[in-house]
Amino acid sequence: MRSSSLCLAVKKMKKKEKEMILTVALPEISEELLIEILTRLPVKSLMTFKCVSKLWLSLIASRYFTDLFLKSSSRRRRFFAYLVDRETRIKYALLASSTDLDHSDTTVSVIDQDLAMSKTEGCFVSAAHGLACFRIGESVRICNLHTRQVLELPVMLFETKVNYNMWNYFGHDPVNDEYKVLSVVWDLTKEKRVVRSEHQVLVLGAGASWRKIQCHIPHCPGSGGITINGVLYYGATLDADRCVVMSFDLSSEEFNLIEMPNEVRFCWGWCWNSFINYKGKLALLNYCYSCSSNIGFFEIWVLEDAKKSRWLDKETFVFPVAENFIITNQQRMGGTSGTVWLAKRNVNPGQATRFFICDLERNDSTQSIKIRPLRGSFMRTSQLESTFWDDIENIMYLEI
Amino acid sequence: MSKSEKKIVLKSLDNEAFEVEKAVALQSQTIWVMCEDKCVGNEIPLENVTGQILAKVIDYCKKHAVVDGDGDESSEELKNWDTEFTKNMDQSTLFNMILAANYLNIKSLLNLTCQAVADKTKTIDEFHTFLNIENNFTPEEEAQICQENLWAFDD
Repeated sequence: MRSSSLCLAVKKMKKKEKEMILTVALPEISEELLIEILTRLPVKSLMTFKCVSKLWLSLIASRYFTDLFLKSSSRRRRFFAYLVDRETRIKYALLASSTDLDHSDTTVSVIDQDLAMSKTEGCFVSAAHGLACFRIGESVRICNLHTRQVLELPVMLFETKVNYNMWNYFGHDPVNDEYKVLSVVWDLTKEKRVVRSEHQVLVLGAGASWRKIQCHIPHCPGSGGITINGVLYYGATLDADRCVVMSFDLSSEEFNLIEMPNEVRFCWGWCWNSFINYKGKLALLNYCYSCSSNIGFFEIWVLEDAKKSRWLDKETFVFPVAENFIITNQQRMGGTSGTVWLAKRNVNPGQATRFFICDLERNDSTQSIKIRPLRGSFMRTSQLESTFWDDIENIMYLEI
Repeated sequence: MSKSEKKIVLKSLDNEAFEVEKAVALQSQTIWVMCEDKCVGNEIPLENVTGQILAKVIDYCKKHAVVDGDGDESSEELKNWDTEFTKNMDQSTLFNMILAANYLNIKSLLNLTCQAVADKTKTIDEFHTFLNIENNFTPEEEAQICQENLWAFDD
């Protein structure tokens, strides 16, 4: 269908009009203007509009439209929660806030919508631009949380075949506007020294396949990743007692090693340590709790120079004591830093949980988020792993 | 600048004339370019806009010129005014406003009116009432696409 056939006719059916039925032929609306309107529609409407015509279907699925939509949707953010039974990794819930949080009048957002998406069990890898990556066993899946499309990536083949471990990262390369999945497998000696690690990358898109890349630093990933300005950072260990930060440039695909700050002895996997985007830079965040004075505080080390492994002296933020906290690394509107969510107790699927969102840049916590209690099989789950994040809306059609 | 130079006359498609402050009219990039080029006199013919729509566009420009000028009103008040401005417009008027804003090149008005159409139009039926689109799917194709996006049809 050509754009010229997108001519418009308006039927006014309002009785208050003098004419009973008036059909006004509007001058032809250009495709450009039609797109202006469409990019402002919610994802849910756009999904139904795919049925309108072949032109609309291919338009809404096109990368051109996706990019325009992303630009206009960057004003709209949603909260997400992924709760999974730590033991079996089969029982899970993928939830979202149904209202867009920057435009809502209240300072309390509610995670109340069950996305009811299948094939997203397992481990949460990471999220970028409204997409999220999950892994169960060796199967890696990418899903669009807004269109609810799930895509299973091709199986990886590794040289290392015996007793290997696997870890993944997912991020967006702003230079080439590509979404990449990084896969790392490694072999350990009995002394927990990493003898070899293999690395493969997959660029999301038609004809995608895994491709080997070189890394001269055998390492074992040990923490979740964070992407800042197109560079992925994650915690890693080289041997039993050497913890480092690895950086991976999503565009050039180069790895680099960053030493930890001298006074910090981090142990990856210890839940009170995390990375955060602090004023556009990588920062290590450590939560401490003082029993004597009953206060909780965050210590933050900011990476000043990655090549020289130079970290700035720590900054300290005092917050109300929390039993549970979560770090979201997405940059918030009007700010350059991630936020920390604090909860008074651990997430219990049977009860509502309320998090307070702390803005480190403004040093306040005026916003909060509530998670509605879940019904069903989750009630009997004691070992629950919960991941929370906030992200923009994306309508990207996933293909491999 | 003398008093007469501060005013400008805009003439609609149906020959309706509107005398407005130059500062009000110059929010339109199209008029601004016409004035810069000095290819027109004090009267500017706008061949794509009817008097009824032009009157509304001028209302919008007046409101926004005043606020930009002396900052009497907060951006919050202006936002509320914008909401009220488009609230009771029917689809036909909104569409004509979009076309006028596009032709006159007033970016903020284009954003406002496109958003208003998007906010008022959430379902296919609503779109079909004013977009005369030929559905060229076979029933099987349509059913398959609907099936793939079933969740979105669920209210």
